[in-house]
Amino acid sequence: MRDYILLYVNGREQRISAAQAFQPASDYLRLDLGQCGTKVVCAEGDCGACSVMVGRLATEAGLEPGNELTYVPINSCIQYLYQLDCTHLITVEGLKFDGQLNPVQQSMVDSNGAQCGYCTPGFVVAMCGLANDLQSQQQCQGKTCYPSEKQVKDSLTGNLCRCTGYEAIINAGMAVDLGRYKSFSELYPDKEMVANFKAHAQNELMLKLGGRTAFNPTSLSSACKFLNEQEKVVIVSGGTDVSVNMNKRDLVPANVMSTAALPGLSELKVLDESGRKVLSVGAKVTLRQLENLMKDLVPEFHKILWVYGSPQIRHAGTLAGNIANGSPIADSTPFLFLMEAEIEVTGCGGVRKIPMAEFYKGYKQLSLHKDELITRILLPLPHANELVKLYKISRRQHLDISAFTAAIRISLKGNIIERAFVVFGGVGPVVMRCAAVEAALLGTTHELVTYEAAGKIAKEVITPITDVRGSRDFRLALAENILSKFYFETASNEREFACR
Amino acid sequence: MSIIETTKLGLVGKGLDRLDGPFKVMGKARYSAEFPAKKITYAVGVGADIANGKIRSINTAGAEAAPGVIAVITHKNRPPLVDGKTFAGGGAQGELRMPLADNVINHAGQYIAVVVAESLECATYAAHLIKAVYIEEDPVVVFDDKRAQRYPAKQWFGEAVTKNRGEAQTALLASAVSVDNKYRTPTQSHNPMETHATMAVWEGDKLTVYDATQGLYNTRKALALSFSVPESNVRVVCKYIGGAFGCKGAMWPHVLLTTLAARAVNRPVKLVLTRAQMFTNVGHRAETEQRVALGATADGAIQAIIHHGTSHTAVDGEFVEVFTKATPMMYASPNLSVSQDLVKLNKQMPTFMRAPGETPGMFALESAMDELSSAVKIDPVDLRLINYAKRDPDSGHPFSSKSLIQCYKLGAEKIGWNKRSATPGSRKEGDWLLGLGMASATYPTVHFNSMCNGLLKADGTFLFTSSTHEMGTGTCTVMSQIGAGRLGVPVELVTFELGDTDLPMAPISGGSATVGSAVDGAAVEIQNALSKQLSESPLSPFSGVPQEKIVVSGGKFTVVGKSETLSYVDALKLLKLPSLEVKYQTHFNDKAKSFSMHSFGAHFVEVKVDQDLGTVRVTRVVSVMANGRIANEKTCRSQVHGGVIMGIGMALEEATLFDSRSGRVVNRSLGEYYVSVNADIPPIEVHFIAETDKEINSIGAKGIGEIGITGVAAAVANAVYNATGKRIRHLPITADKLFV
Repeated sequence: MRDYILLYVNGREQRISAAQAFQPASDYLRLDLGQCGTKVVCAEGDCGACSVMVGRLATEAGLEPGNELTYVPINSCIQYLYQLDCTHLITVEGLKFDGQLNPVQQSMVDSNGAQCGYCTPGFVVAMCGLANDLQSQQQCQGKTCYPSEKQVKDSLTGNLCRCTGYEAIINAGMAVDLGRYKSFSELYPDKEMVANFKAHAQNELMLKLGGRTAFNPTSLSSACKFLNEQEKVVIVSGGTDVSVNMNKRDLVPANVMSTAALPGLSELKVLDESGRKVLSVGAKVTLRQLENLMKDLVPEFHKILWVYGSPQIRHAGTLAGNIANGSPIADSTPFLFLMEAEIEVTGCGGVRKIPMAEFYKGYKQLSLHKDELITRILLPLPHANELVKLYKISRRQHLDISAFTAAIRISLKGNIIERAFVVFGGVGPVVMRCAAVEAALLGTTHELVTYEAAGKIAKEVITPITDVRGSRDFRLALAENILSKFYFETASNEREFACR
Repeated sequence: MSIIETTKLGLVGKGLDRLDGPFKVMGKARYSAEFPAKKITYAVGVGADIANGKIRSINTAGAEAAPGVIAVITHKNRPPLVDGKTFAGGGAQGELRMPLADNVINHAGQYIAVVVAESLECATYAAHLIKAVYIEEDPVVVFDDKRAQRYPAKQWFGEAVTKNRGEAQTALLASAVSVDNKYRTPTQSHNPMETHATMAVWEGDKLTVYDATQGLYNTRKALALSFSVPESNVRVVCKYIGGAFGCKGAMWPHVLLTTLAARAVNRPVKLVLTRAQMFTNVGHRAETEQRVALGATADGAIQAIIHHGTSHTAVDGEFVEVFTKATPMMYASPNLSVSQDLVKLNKQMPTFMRAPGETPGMFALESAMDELSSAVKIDPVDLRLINYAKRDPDSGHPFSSKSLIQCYKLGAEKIGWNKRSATPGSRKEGDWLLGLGMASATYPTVHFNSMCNGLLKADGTFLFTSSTHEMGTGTCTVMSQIGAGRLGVPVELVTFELGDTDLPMAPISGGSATVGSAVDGAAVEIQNALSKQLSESPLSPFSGVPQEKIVVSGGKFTVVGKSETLSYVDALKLLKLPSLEVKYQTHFNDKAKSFSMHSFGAHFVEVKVDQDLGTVRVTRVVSVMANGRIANEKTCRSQVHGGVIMGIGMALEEATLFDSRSGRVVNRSLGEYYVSVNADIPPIEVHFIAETDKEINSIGAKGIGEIGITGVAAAVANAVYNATGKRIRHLPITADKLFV
């Protein structure tokens, strides 16, 4: 057992005892280390001002710890220190090249990208994360090359600015000469850190302060044992939801167990199960890793993952975490319902699989036993001839929580609907498959009137509420319209113009 | 006063990069929460759970016993404070009530205690342990609550709110065409990125306060008053502000609480507001409900304008969101009636938020103009040209400058206004309905008197100092440019220092006003002081030449007809001066001027609306602004950009929602109070119509921080109408409203 966190900040080793461990990384940086470049603006991962780069041993999808650090941008306000054991944080203060502004920083100055300056460090860090990725991917070393507008915009969807206007910032990103950009591993040689992390990773981390415990097990058996023996354990995976509740809703869990050090949960591969392709997603696979894979594998799911939170959230959050959080407006789960995914859970007694449709017993109520945790998700992939559409309706185009989600999957034989799956989120206490709508579609012709009729049924069978994201009536109307929209998007004929 | 003609400074100033950029991108710019202090302690404010009632009892035992806690202060043990004055009453306070004065609760989140501890974590944890028992009454948070006290708003900073010309109601009824509708704008929260932060350090009876504020001198005065120390004992420092938009203009109770706590524990205390507290403890833009009625002849000449309505104020104070402010001046109409009511609600005191008055007011007025345009079947731009006010119809004065016609014309050309179909809902692209809309923008130019010191050093560099504020607007950069422009020297030679009450007095950075005229005046003073001595000193080659014959051109003193020129350093050397220091104070009296002084502009907006989902996307914006001389093209453009983005947010996203049962803010986070993200923001083209304005001030510039937001929400709403045929009169325009 180990009673301190090992963390490097801008290349310097820090050992953090329990007295300091129960705080977000952003507070530790600002208050304990006096490095105030990292800003806390929303304290819930909704603005990116606290962005830092985190370097970890194992972040490549499907790979177990290698011999170098991989860096991704995260929101430090919702990363509590115990989640960051054996990592290297690079903050805005640690980005300079030989004491000079790095090309991203210089570009932000030249493009007038900083106004009040409070969001600036977060933008700079996120942009450096992009530059780091691109210069290694695109082999820009020594050549002149620049990020595209889309790359810059996509990398900054998690950063809010309230005064400059985004244009100057995006221009700054597009003007960064990647050929002059040095990777983080060049900036911070990682040999010593890697050796130190590996030496420490063998030892389970256990921190106790007052009545609170944080535990990072290094084996599943140890994890299950802890779950079995302790009361009210909160399992932290990416922490992008649990930490928000801790910051905002006074959630102070007595026992926290992080999955960070658990081995064998990073698998991400396509299995062939009697002709059907099934994706196996380990519990530690981040949403970003899944997003990257889905780009070619299931573009429709990629579309949803692309607008899921922000890059900083997706680099930390996991599919398993999104499932375990159990929100009826979770972005990833409608697709899992649609594809009849199975959740593999592990407990003291072994492994079992729970069909997605049986996983939730009520609002945020899971079919998990006390000693169990999610270890894998088995996600069947759509056949090429199935019509699959996913919808996320939110106020903003990025960085937003859904008001309503829908997932529709149709198999046709000729023009007759042979199989139908219709899933709605945000219309009740759990994400739900809508049997009545599916029944209405089955065996009917794939044409507008069918979907219009199904839409009317959808409206009858769901029970949405009114909240800050939308009214009950709005959600009812969406459930009705989305079926027609599905038809128009999957039918080849040009849409008739109709102004509702 | 001018030695050189203002126009020689150039109507559009160079787009100089901001001088503080490098500090900001390195994370080195030090904001108010980031100053260190020895033996620092942390304070956390505890807010009331109820919005109306009294504290029956408050149990602080658990908090006091928590590890690391140094003090817990409630109304039961609060040390005495001298009552302060509100901002409107000549003081600094956002609200009149002194914090922890008694057990009365007027709004949710009102401070009921402050906890001071050794660490932020200890203080936060202990704050959760404080348990109050309340005598709760039903809160009044909606306008139409019968219990709400309603009364007419009389004055706004000495100016009458009610205005009448002719017989508006009679003229309205007699008009060939009329529109008469109600518009509503919600409560909005400023939400600058930086939450308010204060650190107070007492050394004996000397006080230093690091505070995120737009009003350093006001804060100093207020603290001196409430803590009974001379103003000279109080120093307030604020070097950088992480955005403000008005919420850091007045002083809010946490500043008093922090200072009080620091005195009580005899150690420095730092208090940083949480994001949630930004919705309940630092003011907000008041909700409004506005009736705008316009009557016109069949050929579009407006005969009557009626603009009446209501905004809220707190139960224990008065703040008027003067949404009718621009209306009497905006369009020529022989008959006009404007007036406002106030309704007292259990919300905190509202305050100024970016373009107070004009922002909600122009939404209503410019939406109504669009409705009139449909009713009278005249293009919206043409309708505005028909009713163009060449003189201020309210005061009768000429405008010091007004280039609104050029704004309309250039904006229409750049957006491709001729593509617009007058029939709503008639353009589409796949599932999307397309629309174009426009609206006017305006904001008055106001001046507050200020001081600036100028220093010419032996090495030929200049230092200007004034205790104004760097809110992100680029004050340091632009003031250096103004000084350098007047002096005729490269800007690299000029430094401007701000953000400290040890420097000469500057007013609140608000109303789009800053200290440009004071800097300009100080630069002129340097020139005058040197030319006077060059004229008088026997050491000077211009000895005996009358001072007015000595001119400065391109940074050199010369006399017409003489070949000899002297730089500033040459002059110092010749006169055997080690350096030269001047003091300057402005003497504005806007009321004495017989000119009406306003900025004008026009926004043109293109939107698309998903016909199945009701989602609105703004796809293009063209904004044309006429703001006098543009001191720095880059920073001015950025102000307009920022204003337009906030306007798009206002149109589609922003609203602070109150639970009508509990009176609490429902969405007090950036996850649920929507601020536009980059994906929501389309390309925004900003154009300036350069104006020569010799009346307005010595530099010919009008403030530009606020006008950008005015009218944007109306332009979006008008475009949405053009796209869908649905007129949304209640912001924000959510899919919900469009479609259910």
